[in-house]
Amino acid sequence: MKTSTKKRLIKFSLILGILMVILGLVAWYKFFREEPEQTFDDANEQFKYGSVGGEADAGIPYWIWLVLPRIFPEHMPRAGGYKAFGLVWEEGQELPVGFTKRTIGFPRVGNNCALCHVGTYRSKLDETPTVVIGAPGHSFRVQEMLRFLVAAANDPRFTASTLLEEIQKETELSYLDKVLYRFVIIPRTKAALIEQGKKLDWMNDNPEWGPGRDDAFNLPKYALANMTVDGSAGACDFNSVWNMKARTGSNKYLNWCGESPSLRSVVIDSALGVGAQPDSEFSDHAKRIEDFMNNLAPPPYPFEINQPLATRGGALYSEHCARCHEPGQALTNTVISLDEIQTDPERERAWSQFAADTFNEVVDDMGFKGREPVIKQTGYLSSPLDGIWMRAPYLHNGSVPNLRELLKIPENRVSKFYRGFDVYDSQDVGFVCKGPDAKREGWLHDTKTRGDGNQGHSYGSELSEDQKSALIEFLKTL
Amino acid sequence: MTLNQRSLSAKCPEELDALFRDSALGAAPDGEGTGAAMLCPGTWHGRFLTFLIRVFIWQGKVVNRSEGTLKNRVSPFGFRDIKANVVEGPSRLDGKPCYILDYSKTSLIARAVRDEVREIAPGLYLGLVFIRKWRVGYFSLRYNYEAPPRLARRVMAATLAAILVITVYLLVRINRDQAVGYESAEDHFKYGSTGGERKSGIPLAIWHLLPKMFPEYLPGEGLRSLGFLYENGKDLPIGVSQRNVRGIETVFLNCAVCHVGTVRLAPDQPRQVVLGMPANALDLEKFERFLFACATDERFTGERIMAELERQGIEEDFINRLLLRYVGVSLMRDRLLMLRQRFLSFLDREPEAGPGRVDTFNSPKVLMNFPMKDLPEREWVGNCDLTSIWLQRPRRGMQLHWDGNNTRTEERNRSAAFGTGAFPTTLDRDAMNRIVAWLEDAEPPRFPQESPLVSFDKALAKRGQPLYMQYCSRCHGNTGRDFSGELVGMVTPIQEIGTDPHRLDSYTAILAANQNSLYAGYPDERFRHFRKTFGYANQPLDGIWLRAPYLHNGSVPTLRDLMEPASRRPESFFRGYDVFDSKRVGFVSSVQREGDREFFSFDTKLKGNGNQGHEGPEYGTELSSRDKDAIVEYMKTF
Repeated sequence: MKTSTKKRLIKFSLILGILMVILGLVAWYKFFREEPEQTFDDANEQFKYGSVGGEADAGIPYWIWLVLPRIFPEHMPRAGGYKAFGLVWEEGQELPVGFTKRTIGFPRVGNNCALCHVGTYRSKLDETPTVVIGAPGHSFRVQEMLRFLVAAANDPRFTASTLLEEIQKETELSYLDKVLYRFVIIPRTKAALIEQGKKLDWMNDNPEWGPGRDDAFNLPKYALANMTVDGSAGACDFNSVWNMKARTGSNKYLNWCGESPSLRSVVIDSALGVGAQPDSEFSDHAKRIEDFMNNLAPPPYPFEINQPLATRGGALYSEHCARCHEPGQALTNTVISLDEIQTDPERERAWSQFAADTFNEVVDDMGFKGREPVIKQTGYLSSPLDGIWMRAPYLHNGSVPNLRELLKIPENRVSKFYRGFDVYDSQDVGFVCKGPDAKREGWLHDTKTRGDGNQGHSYGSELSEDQKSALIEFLKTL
Repeated sequence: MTLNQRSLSAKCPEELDALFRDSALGAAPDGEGTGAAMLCPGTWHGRFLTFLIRVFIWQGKVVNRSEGTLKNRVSPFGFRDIKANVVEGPSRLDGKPCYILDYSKTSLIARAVRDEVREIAPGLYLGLVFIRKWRVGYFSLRYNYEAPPRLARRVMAATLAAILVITVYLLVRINRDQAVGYESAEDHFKYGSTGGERKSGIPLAIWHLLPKMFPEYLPGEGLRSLGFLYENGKDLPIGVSQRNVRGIETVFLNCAVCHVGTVRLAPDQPRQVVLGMPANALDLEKFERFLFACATDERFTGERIMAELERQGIEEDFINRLLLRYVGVSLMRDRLLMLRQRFLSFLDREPEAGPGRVDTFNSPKVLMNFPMKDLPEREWVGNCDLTSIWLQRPRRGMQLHWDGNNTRTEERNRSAAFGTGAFPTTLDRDAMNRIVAWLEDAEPPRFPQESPLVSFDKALAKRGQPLYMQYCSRCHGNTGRDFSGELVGMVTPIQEIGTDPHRLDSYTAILAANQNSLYAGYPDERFRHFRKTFGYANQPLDGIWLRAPYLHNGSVPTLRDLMEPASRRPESFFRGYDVFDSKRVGFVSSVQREGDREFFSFDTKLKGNGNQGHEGPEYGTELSSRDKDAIVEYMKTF
């Protein structure tokens, strides 16, 4: 090759190279550039709004997320934007609790632990709800929210034109951004949501989850491990996540059927659900969250307690409940066999050793470190009763609305009631579960539905009414 | 037929080959020649391809005869590159001599290319293109410039220039965004634009046409009959602003439409226009319904609207007539029908608002497209009075809106701007800031104590002061300018105040949560202070004489009536009349009609219209009649 030809070739490749670098930089800037995540000095704020690293993989583009309820009201179960899904939304906050906003190329919305583990209560209907960190998100209807997003994505009106028109009422997009949203971000989001929807198809053959519940172990089986759908219905309550240090240690287990042997496992497996990736950031997130939950104090009962009555109840608690529920006792945090506890077996059936093995393999392959494998146990976990007043409704499937009902023999317990309403019933200790307001804001739990049975755990039903009142009074103090 | 590049391009390959064979070698090319590539000679798309190649890829060859080399003019910019050697040699076509353009030793990209050229006419060369051994096409190269006929050139140049001018003009026109501006703050408040026309505007021509074309949907003559106020010499009413958007003069509402009212001291007295006062006569709901009715009328089509414009002699220029006929009118109809479907979803299930009132907080719900059918009945009725907006500076930090749901005047303003059609992306911030700045210290006019037309008893007012201080000042401030008082601007719980709860209930925590995302594209402006409250806010009483009827829902016609317990307040009365009742302080509420304007019969028994509450010993409703008179007399000084 002649030198002049060579020179020209070099010139040519140089220009081409520079062009490609510029193009690459633009692409990186617009799609992958990670702005530092927002951190909060206050640990509570960090828990409510801090990232756990799920935005890159599971994040929805913020502007799309924002306008969807405005474009698809027909897919909304009721009026009120995302708040209609029973999310906790603190005054003045841009996003509901459990939502994070982070720019990775473009602003995205992700979720964190607080999505399902922050709850509210009110003493009466017309009152600003009090937010309780670490409490079960008992009014949050995750299934409805998932269904809404999937239905919107599958709607033929989910088009770049429709979305961009609405987005541009809220923000000005540059020409480049408009092009990227139109040809990349919006179509990709639609496709990803439709894909997610297919992975959730099995939900539609199962009973409704309702507020405050999800099918915690079928979700990883099908959505992550791609296992064959087996028809089991494992809807169960979100848990409280405070005082975790009283729940972990050797021979102590977590999750309703004692699947998880360590807090780290629970954190990893739950974070997977919001798209967290096994990167260097994640172990920091996990560590922070664990520390937070280990030391988070259960919320004190906010209403009046009759102390003398509670003291009398304390004796009954020691006699009837402590063996399984008092931290430090032999059976606390262990799995009580189905034969013994006799509560609804569906949730327990949804998990198997095979599922555990398959799931462990998948998570290990992803590269998460420090995770003890999940296991299969037969029965339900006996957990400490700290902050039990804020953990209604009761039993793993939330089939008993309040403590007074729980102390009845199972046949006499209420068979239909509303859950998801956050006005507190300090008489019976639980949330108000009947009446027009509970009906309007809540969801009807029918104990005849598969998986939603209220049988079992008949301990204490033999006590007298006075004794029950005393015991309930004592339970308020935990 | 003369041979030139144009005639060559019309020949088919066989003819070109024959031409090449029949031509001698000719003189060697030299200098800059204009090229025309012919990949599919003899076809129309071949010509187009030739044109595209000329513009984007290859413009010709520059031959250096002495060196025996050439370079091509390539890329849209005509860079000289891709070198070839020029040698004489036998043609592959017929073995006879031709000029061979050999790229094999000089060019990397074109190394497989070999061109053969002969001069087929003076200064005109025909070339064959080979890649390796395959023939891929022809080209021509000309050195003698053929000037097109002069006339054709002129026409072409003129056409090009005209196209350029028109394009630039259209671009400028389509990007126009020019509001009609006003010097004085008062005129800007009355007629200035908040930016609403940019997306929500109504073409000015159609604004003028609608009352003429659809008079049957109006209660009387023109928009005046809905309570719009026209000042002398103006063809747009107060509260309607004008802006040129994309070349079309458009109009929409501004703040003044709801916050400018009128008062007369007697039926035969001149009407005084008061800026910042509640628009006591404006029936906003009827205006909305008028627009909706027009949009649903079968005559609301581009063709018929344009025909009617012409008939009425309303002028628009040619381009806008085209735009309106084929796009504008149907866009406007679609938009109105969309708004109709959304707004009627709540307007139709609550009592009519009537003049001077509006359902404030069901509107943001429909703007965010809540499925209104799913709303609990408790939220359905949100009618309340339009408010006065004077003296905003001393109101800062107070709980604003009737239920005190926001403590920031800036957010309250931006929230209200939605009502003027201004979205986060269309709000005219400079214009808005001007209005806001003016409202900071704008004051209501004083009660005309000196006028012989009003009743005012100075001594009685003096006697009323201590009573006012005892019963009212804690919640409503010491005077009409001194807003101090421990509960001023704070919310009194509904159980205590006992007034009609509907307006309070129409605002919900769910709506507040959703409002948090408004203006999210402008982080400094995002709404952060909307709160659900559980009562009504205590307001300062500046210009209270012009703020009748009273209570948040305007259910009590006069101050003197408000001093009575609910059981003795008028059960029904007329609203919308602007003649002042200086004795009882409020507008005359017993007059049913004036001229062609019929006033609104307000029924306190309807939902949201209840006149109860704000009564009992603490509220002074159990004082003696004389004491009540005194308090009312004192409030005339505000």
